[in-house]
Amino acid sequence: MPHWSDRSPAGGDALTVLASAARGHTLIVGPHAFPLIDAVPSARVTVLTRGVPDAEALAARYASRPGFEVCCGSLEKLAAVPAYDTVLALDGLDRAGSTESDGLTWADSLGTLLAVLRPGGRLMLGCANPAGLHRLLALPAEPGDEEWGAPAFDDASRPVGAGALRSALAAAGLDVLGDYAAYPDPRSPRALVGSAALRDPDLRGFLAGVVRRAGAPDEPMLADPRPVAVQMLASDLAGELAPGWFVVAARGGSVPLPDVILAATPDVVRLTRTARGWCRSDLDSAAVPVGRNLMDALLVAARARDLPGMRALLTAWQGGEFAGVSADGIVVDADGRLHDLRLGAAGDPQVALGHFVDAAPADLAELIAAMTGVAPASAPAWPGAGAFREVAAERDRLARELGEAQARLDWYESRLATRDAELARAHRIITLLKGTVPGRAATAVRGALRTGKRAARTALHQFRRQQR
Amino acid sequence: MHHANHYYGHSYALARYCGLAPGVVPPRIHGYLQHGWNIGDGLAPDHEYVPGIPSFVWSERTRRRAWSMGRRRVYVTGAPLAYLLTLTPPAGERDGTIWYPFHGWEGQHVQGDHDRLIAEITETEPGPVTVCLYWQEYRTAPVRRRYERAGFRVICHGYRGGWWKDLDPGFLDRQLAELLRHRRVASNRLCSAVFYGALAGCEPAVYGDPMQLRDERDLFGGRPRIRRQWAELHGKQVDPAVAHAIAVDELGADRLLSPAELRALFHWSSSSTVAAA
Repeated sequence: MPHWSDRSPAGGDALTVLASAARGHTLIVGPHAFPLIDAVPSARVTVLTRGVPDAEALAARYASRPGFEVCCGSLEKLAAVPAYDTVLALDGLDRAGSTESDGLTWADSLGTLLAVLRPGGRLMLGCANPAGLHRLLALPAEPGDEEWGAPAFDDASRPVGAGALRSALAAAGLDVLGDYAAYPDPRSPRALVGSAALRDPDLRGFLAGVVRRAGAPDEPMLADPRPVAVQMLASDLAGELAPGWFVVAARGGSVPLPDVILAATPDVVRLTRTARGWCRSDLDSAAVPVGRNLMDALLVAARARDLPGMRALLTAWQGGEFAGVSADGIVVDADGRLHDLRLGAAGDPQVALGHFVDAAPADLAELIAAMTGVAPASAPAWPGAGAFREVAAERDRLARELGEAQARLDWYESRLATRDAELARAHRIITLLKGTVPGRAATAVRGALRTGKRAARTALHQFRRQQR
Repeated sequence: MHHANHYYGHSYALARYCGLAPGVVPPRIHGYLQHGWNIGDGLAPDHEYVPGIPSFVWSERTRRRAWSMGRRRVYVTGAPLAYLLTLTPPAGERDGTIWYPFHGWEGQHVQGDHDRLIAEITETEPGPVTVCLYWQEYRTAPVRRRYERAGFRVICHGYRGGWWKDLDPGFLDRQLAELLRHRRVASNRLCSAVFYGALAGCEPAVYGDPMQLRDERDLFGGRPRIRRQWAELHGKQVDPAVAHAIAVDELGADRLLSPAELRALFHWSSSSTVAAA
């Protein structure tokens, strides 16, 4: 398509880990960000893109990379020759067709990819979830320019669940070597969580931190998806309702990929299951601490207005060595001890506390500051998602507070009016009393006293002058 | 609504299909009607897209393209010639070739070698040849005579129409009548006429010097893309069945609307008495 360029290609550090597992002659289908393509270690790479400007940009960027080829056009034009050792379609199959074709179904597109895969070749595929969390919380939106055909989710051949995706690959004779639930965005996820990890209750505290750290998508939503994602973990729905899925499949064999991948700063967090249990492959096989996620424990206490429980957790956290670690990066073990999950670098305790204050009921903010002796950083350290549910809640809170302030004002005014009325009544009584015989006498006495006082003061003044 | 809606008698043909009084100027079409085959959004290159005003395009492919370019309220109606064909009795005896040399439009100038093209037509076409010139070339005596001297019958379907002036309600009827009496349709560029011919049952062909417009710009991939994407239609011998299927697709002949649907889309009510505008 001469006029077309795909926006928001598949990308991000988490997918880079998958891309780095490509081997041999690799075909990349659909829009992929340059860093993702850079991560493919193969000597021969072919990229298929549908927009001429995108193809030109790729050709210019990789002009000096030997073995790099760019094709431009629709997926169905690809010669069905098993020429590739790896096929990478991390953007999914929805952006591989052009306006010039009626559009392949998802199943047809998969068939085309399988037809170009060599026996023993490896397929890495992304698939957005029609019932994913990102869609459940999405704002209503008009279809964009890229939706010239029927909506992708109306395609009956498309997998509607993680199980259906695995079945589709199994039906094609492939073994699924790795499958991941992706958060928070199906194209550029920051967290990839394998199905084995999702099933293990011992990892709940760790994974709650992972999905919270993966954060909210960058676009406005109906609500902050992070608390819902944590609940989905507990409800065993985090795989089925994930925004997207990624699978690595081949005919037999294995692939050395971590089970959990989180794009964090400074390094990507990787978790792998070994004979010794879950280990951090990015941290010299360190074991993963087991326990409740501190953020969730704190929120449970806060929501229940369990002030002693919240104080105990806050004191242990903010009074200890992990004060600078956000609560979602810490677990509390059965004995109440805290363990750093090492999901990123520690920072300012005020900012870390601020994350909890932002998530906690708003009326507890001052109390939390008093309990910890730390004023939480006022501005949210993580920019809000512009979540409409939160905005609506904030508006409701402000409306309530305004109503309360108005009620207080009305009460003060009514008290003031009562006092005014009482004062006016007292003045009237005084005036009346002044008009009576005793009142006039009292006024005369007071006048005489004032005159005498003035005379005495004048005499005293003159006497002092004479003394000087 | 747009003067181009009346080009080639398109609005007249559709008005007739919709059952409106024949001959009178059709009511205003509330939108922009595609008037020629193209590889962009269906609008003419000089026509500015106005958000909110619907476009009526010929094919589903054009609708998808237009959508991808940010156009909305795009409806596939199909080409007016496809409607006219439904109103026309089947062709009788067919003979020879109708040949459409690539032409420029008003204010454009074609640069190319007519003599070489004539030689190639003579060498290729088995039967009598009718050359259909655009009105500009037809009125240019030296060009017309060149084709006449080669022994070709030289015709012109008429003037396509100006800005609501000199409209020619019979243009499309004449073109279809000519296509139906020829066995082959050919041009040196893939264009509306070749698709029309293929739909009307002619064997199409695209060959010869494609010629060049002065300062011609290749929009949306231009001629190289047309040759690549519709390679099956290029050459002196083309599979007529394949060509017919492509013509059905490109002219939206499988997606024609009923008169009632078309009237609703164009806002042509029975009480509509608004003159063409």
